[in-house]
Amino acid sequence: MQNIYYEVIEKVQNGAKFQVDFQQRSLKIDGKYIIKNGEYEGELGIEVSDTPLLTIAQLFLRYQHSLPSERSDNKRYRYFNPLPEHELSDNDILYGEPRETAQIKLELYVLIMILNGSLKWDEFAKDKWFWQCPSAKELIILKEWVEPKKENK
Amino acid sequence: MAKFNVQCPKCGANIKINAPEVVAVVAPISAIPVVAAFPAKKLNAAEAKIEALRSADVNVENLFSIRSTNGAYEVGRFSEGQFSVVSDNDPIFAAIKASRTIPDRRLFRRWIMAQVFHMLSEKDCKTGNPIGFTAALRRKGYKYQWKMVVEELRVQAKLFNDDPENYAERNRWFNRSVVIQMANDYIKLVKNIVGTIRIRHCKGVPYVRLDGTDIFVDDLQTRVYASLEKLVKSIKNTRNPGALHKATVNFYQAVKNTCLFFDMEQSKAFKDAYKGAGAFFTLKNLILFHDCVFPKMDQEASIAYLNYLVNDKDFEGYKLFGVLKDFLITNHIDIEAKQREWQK
Repeated sequence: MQNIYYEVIEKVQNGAKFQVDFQQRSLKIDGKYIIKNGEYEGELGIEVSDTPLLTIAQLFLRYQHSLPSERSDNKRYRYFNPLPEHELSDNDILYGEPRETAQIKLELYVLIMILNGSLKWDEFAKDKWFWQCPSAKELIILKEWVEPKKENK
Repeated sequence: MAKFNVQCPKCGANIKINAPEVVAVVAPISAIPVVAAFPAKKLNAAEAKIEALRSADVNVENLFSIRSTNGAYEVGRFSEGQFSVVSDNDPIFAAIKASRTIPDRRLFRRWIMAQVFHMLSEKDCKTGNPIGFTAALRRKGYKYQWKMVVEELRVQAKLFNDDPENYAERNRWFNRSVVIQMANDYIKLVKNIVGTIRIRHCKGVPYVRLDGTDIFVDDLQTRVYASLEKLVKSIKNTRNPGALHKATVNFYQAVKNTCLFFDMEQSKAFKDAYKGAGAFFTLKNLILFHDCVFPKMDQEASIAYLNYLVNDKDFEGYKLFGVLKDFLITNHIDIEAKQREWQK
């Protein structure tokens, strides 16, 4: 892929299934590996960032207020928790982004930040086993996602 | 006249007042499922009720816990300079006790409006141009029309007893005649498909392969068409919403067993009812909760005008959809601009 981030988002918008695995450093689209054990062909599509947590928090807020559907509700596993339907405002429901699109944007961004070395655990949560965003308390990143145990590598 | 001790929820001051007669409260028109968990901490009965309403985002600013001279706690309401006791038979509490739901008028069928807005702004993935509502509906595929109608009729069967007003509004669009027309259209579609597929032969006897099932041409009438027509008759013979739902489920099952392709043309009756229902509930929501009105009318007049339009049984759904499009323009609602704003 020329630009993994944008091409993958486009595929998901058109109905493709996806699975992101932080610990295995993998991304599957419709059952096929696009990134496997941190290896991929082409460009990731996002440059190294000095403020990855800020962007992650923004993407998380969009995901939290995104529009759920039967498709997104059937997703078995997700790293981050969105708001349930009855907690969404009218504006979220009327103009919000589809939940699966918001989810792939967030999870793939985190994966890319891990892969390109922008997200270094010791720089923002040294000696902790999880990091909680100060502005959005529901956003939690576990250490094992960023620095998996050796046996998982 | 009995006297009540009223405790202000903000400052905690006790006030003694005379209790006037009980005032009835208008029943809500819809309900959303919300768990009505009464708090476990030590609250009196009235405080617990107010707390349950507060946790469900119901405005409780004018509600108070009051104690009568006999020591019993009641919920009181202060409005327009008048104080009244909210009785236990109040529709709000009755609904909570009966169905464990909190009525919330603001959430009245807002998913319909959301779906209409999203379908109106749906774009082609290659060109990025808007494709229009009808094309967006077609994109959902043929199966969607049956799934949607079966679910709608299931809900209508429940509303028939619980909420006649809401039932009438929904049944205006999706009703028996629409289902009959959809079923007849399906039989025509199957006949067209059979007419175009290759005729195979088994020991010289012609047969067709219909969605993976081999059927002799001579058996088509008895095995396929007659059984479908029998199911159409059973839909025609239904006399209540529950029976209509069951008959439609049976027909949908037959559709799945006979042939079901994604690109089959959706029924005209379905598309019209879908547009009509979408436009009606979107307009109602916009008028009631988003301060939108028809030109030179206030909220009350706008609702009356909308009801006047749909009371005419010959007023088709696509026409009401046209009214909705004009309504969005006159009320300056730009869906794409709002979507861009949300992304920020």
